[in-house]
Amino acid sequence: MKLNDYKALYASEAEEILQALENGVLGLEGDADYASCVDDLFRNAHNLKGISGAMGYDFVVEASHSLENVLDRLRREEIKISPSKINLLLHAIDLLRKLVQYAVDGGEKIDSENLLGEILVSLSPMCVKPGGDGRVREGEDTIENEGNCDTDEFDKEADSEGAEGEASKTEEQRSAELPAPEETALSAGDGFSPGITSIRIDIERLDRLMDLVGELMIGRIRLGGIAHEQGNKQLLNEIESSGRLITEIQREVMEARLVPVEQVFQRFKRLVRDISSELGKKVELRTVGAEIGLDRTVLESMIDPFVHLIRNAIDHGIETPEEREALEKDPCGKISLSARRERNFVILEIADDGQGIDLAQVKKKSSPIDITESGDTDLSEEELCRILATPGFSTSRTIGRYSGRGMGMNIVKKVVDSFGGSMRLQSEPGNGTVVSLQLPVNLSIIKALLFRVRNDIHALPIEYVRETTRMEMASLRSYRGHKMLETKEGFIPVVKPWEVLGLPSDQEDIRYVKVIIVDTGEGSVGLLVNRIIGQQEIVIKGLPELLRGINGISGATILGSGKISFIWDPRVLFQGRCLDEFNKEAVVLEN
Amino acid sequence: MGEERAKDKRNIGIQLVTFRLGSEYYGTPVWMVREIIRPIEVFQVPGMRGPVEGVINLRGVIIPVLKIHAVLGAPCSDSSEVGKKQRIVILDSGDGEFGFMVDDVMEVVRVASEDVKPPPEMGATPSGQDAILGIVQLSGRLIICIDPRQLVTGCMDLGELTESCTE
Repeated sequence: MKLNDYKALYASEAEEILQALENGVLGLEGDADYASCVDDLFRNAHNLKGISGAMGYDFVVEASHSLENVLDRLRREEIKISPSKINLLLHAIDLLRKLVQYAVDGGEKIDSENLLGEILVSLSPMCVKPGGDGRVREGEDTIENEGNCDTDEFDKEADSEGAEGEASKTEEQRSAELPAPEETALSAGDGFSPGITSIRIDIERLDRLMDLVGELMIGRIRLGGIAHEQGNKQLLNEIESSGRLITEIQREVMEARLVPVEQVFQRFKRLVRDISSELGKKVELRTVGAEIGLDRTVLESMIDPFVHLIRNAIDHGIETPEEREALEKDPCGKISLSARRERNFVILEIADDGQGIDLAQVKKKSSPIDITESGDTDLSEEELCRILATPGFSTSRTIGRYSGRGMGMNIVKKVVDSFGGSMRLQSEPGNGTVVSLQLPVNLSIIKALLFRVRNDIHALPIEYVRETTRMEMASLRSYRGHKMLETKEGFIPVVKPWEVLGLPSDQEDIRYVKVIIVDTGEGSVGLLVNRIIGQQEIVIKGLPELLRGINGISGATILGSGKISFIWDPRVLFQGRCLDEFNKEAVVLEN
Repeated sequence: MGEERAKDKRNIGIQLVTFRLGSEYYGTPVWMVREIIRPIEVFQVPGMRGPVEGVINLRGVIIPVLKIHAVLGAPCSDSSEVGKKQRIVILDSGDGEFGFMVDDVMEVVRVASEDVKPPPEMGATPSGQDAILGIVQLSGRLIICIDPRQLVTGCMDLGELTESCTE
């Protein structure tokens, strides 16, 4: 391993620790078990000191040491925690993060000293002796701190006799007093305890592995094609069994790449706290299903959208404590982030118990932007969603620090769309708003039904296929200009893909047609196709930048033959604009 | 890196890959061109309006192909000669690769920077105007120099435009 590798490892470990520290401090504020919270914090600070020491980042060692001191006092309950102390601790953690960044990336030396000074200053109010019962040793330490922290001089002596000498000494003391947590910290620091059960792997390596498995699958599909052509049964059997192995490998790699939603959710605790305190609102954040795994790429891209959604929820949704009390609501608003898995999707949801979306206001504001006004005062869920996602749409009259530009929901929708996901929005005036984002668990490999439209092969994720059938063209019924198909559940509309593709039809005069009955969860629709090819596992390739955001297309794949096939997203295609367009076209034709 | 090299080239002139679109001649700085391939199957993108003709499978990578004639307002290819000499020029826009079909690739020529003249003023600004670097006269031909990266951004605007128009 090169030094840079160690650095990267250090950086990611340190970030994890800092994140844990931050959450721990936030936990002190909540009703979490105080003692174990402080113990965890102390252990984390100690770990940071340990790994920084191993890298020779003395200034980080020094800073985390002083944090450790403060935490130790908290643990002994020599000082009491208060909101202002939490702010100080958070501030110190922020500075510590900068210091770590400096250690990894390098930069002006003066920065690190200034930062260190700042950390010590920010912690110093907590180092003041509460009364006469403070330990002599620590008392000296604090005085030293206070005396030197604003001149950037605080370093060498405090470091030599303070950090090292004191650390070892107090550690002995501590282990005598509180053996349990300290032991864990020590054994963690020692590294190779027997039975290491997990290792760290560079995510790039996993990505590479995923790509390779993808190529392997394409290769297998190609081989299968050749064997099929030759009619070699033995070869087909072999390919079949190796195919099962490849599928197994693929599943394992895919699972390994999944990241628990927790990793993103936990970042929002701080955000919620900061925004709500600035806006003078009280908000409690709850998370559900944080252990659900999601593709790393998808999850990382969801951070921005969620920041927007959280801002919206706090700024537009949650009322001020006074307003809430007047409404006989709990003065403390609630935002819940939840994750759950549904088939091959993960649903991420943010719900608030605020005032909901003012439909009348949306309606009023939307008329100049949106031309499809239906006249009635009720907005359907989809309409509402579409209007809110229009760039520049905002019900806010002023542009605030957190919202008002009207870009937030548009960004959310764009990101979700780019992964072939979808967004739903439900709002109940007075009771809050729920925004659900449906995202694919995996971006890489899915099962799909392949079908032919004219000369092109298209793919439809198998989850959406209810059944396939062959039927007489003449059995289609016409309803207000739409062809309808009779099923057990009643009449469903029929969509002709060549019309969506803008191709002339070559099927109108055909007697029999193949129909894929597509179930989008919100309704069914019959898709008329030339030929149904069959079910296949396909490797999803990302769409080129230029093609992102096409309605109804969630991705593309390269088939064994080298042909490119597009993966349809029926939910957008049938629920969204395309059907609207058919309707509009129909109206135009009637006129 | 590209920029620097472009500057270097400007001092001693520009090397242009010249190609034909219908009856017009175009040139693109040679360093912008990644490769030129014989036509391969172009797959139509469902629901795609705007300036993308389709996509090609270039060794396992999906690359969009532009309707460059439409974007630049160049005359359409003469259908009688379609095929034989057509090529797909692949470029890297920085945001990813893209290609466009040309009717013939001519040659690589070196022109002096001062020979490149600003494009003539047009009444209304036609689409793709940002992509025009200038014009140069060379052995009796007018060669229109284009910057493909601008072509793509121009193209995206056009795409959004077409989309918002149809909405």
